[in-house]
Amino acid sequence: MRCSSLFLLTLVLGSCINDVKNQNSNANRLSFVPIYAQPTEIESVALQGPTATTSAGKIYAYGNYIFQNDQYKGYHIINNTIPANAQKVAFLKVPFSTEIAIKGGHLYCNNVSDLLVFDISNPVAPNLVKRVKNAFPIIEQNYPPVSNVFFECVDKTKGLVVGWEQKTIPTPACKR
Amino acid sequence: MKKYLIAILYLFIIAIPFSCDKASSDSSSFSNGGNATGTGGSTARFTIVGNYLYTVDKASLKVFSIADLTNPILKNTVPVGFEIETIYPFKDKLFIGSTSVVYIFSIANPELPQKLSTAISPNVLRRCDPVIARDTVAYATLRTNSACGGGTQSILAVYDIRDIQNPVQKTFRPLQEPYGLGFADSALYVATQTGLNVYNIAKEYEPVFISNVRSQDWFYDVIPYGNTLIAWTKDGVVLFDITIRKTPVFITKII
Repeated sequence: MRCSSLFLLTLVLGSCINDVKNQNSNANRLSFVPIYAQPTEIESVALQGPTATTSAGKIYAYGNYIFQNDQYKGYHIINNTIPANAQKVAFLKVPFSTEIAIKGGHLYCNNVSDLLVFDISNPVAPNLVKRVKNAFPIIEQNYPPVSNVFFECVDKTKGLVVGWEQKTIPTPACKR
Repeated sequence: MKKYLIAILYLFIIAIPFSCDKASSDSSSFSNGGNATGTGGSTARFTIVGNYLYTVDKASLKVFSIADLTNPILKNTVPVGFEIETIYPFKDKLFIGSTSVVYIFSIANPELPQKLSTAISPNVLRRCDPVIARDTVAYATLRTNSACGGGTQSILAVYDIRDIQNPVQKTFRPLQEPYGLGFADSALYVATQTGLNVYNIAKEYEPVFISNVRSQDWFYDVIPYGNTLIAWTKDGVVLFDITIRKTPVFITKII
């Protein structure tokens, strides 16, 4: 019974057996791991063709269009003129963006700590018209946003910390 | 496998756009022209009211003037509390959801938001809570699992806000894994991990469960938008026809 369960787990989870082994030797722990980005990567805003949704995020409706965030990547632009035929028409790449609002043909979104403004008089072809630097609090560069947790120590040579993700990794050296 | 991105601004949970007024004012935003403002979901951290963009980060509310649409100017930063999750506007009020309480602010003076009160649910100590509201009532989902912790039963909470200085929880409805929510006329839609819950809110303080639709989809938030309900699901967007408010009919899925 235990064997078949393990076998099933292996099928489903792949690396599960390794995880179990490591846990037995108390090496692995759910920890916070920094997400790094280079400044040039952060600001690499671009208009692209429609693409598959990878990590569906928040939604926003404006006129006949729907904008859906792809978490930390940008915005799918959906033409909803005829809901039964609603379809993606473009992707606005805004690295690490999660939040959006629109008024009078202008789209506002976050880009790490910056506030961006796009002219969307043509909703299919947004045009970056303003970057307000450091409009939002700087992401903490030294430790994750919660306490009493283990985390992978920050290596500043790898770039700017733009977020933290939780992963099961060998017990890291840093704790907060 | 269990990867939760905690990035910059915490995700997960909260506030839908405007209200029953919304439904009518929506018609103006169906066209792209002029100064129309779009419509966000209940889990938003950005919202626009008049000539101002309001944003919430983990601890504070920021006010940007967008009188010049291309040139946002920071006018104010207001400390709010801890673990702020969402912002929802209704008329001259902002409802700000956190993992502990709902804060209600007046923006009668748009650049100087004033805290009026906090709405507390006695049922759950700590949770994620998107909140929506209209004149007399506010609805919040209090989800007790995962990062938001605390408690064992998630609920839909109903607050009487006729006395805005003293909001009172009138009742609650237990439900499984709720996220964002929104309403159109007398129908309330609640996103859950196992489908969309529909409630009759003809009696605003006594929501009556009507149905659960698309239980195969994990819903995070909804935007009632004219006769269409726009829903954020784990894999993309699902659209429903809500011409008959209490009977959402699946239209399509965009992934």
